[in-house]
Amino acid sequence: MALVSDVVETGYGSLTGDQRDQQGSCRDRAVDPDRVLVDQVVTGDLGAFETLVQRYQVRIFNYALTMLRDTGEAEDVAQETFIRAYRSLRRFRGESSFKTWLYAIATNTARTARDRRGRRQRMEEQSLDDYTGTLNDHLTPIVAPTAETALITREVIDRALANLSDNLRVAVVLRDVQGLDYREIAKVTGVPIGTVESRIFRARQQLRTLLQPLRSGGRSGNEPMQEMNHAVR
Amino acid sequence: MLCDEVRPMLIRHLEGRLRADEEQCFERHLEQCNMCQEALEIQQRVAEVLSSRPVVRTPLGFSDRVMANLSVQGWLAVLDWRAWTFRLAPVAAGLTVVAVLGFGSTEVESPIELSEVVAEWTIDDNSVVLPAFSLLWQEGVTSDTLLEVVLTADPEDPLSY
Repeated sequence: MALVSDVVETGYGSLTGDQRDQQGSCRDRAVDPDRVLVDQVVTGDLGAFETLVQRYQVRIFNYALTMLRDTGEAEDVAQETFIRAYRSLRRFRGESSFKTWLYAIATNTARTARDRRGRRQRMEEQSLDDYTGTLNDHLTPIVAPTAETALITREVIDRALANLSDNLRVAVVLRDVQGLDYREIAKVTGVPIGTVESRIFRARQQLRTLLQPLRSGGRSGNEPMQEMNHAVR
Repeated sequence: MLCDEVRPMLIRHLEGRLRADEEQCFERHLEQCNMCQEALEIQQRVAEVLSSRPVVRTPLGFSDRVMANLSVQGWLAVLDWRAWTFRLAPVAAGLTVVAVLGFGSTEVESPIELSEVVAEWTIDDNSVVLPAFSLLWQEGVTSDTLLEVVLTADPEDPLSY
């Protein structure tokens, strides 16, 4: 469990989803902005790799956290992701961006960690309904975003995501939490874009009830509470 | 246009990836279909909530640990016998060649003559005190020598004929 003070900001920047998409599409079409650093790493420049780690560590760590919901395991997975990337960098042919390639490694590493944990022990999940009751008590007086409400928001979202199947979770996390565009997600997951769209659509449908505790409509938390009780029939 | 045909267009509409003619059909359907309106609203709201997930800072010293692990990995690679197997293969081949050539040029030591053995173990009265069986573990003793010693040894010797 992360400390309350660990929650420092919301989102990965000020870009909207569309802006992120445009940026992502251009990235693949044009030159990968990480390509220069990747080339330097291949020639033995360890400092260039450290720059890449610092550039992506927050994204990869948070991605692992949404997949595993355990800070320690998430750090292990993030560490292993970067180490695997470093070892395999000579085989990176640049067919996708370094970012997409890194997410693919992180996805596989997180899945392996989940499988390993599943074999080791069956997690005793508290039912989401019980948890929802507790959270409603916390959420009622929310008027401004605080470190505590940010922590609760993250917990509700991560718990809701944990109820999805692995494929749906990966797709919707990469899109809505990590901000990758559909083409990038297709490359990370190795499925056609149509399948990605379908998975994201279904994931959001399933999440609508699971995210009901978060009835705040805006990113800042200052907007009026809004019910998310619209059902898809 | 039916709802089932419109649903797959919802995502692409949100992403602004519908063609102009598709967008027109979609909008016309949406104006008269509450179910699809709600479905679209849910897609937007869930995406909005998920994108508001607070980002957690990486644990202090994360990148330092990654770089330290890479260094450790580098040292561990030295101990990787599989890597060494490939790297040392030419060296091993060279040593093998040298060994073969070296042994080939070494003169084979001539077998010990019986007279030498007898002289070594002979005391003043010229009697042989060497037990015959002790030759069994001596190097270089030929079968002929051993046979001769056995045949000529002291009758008290257990290996004497």
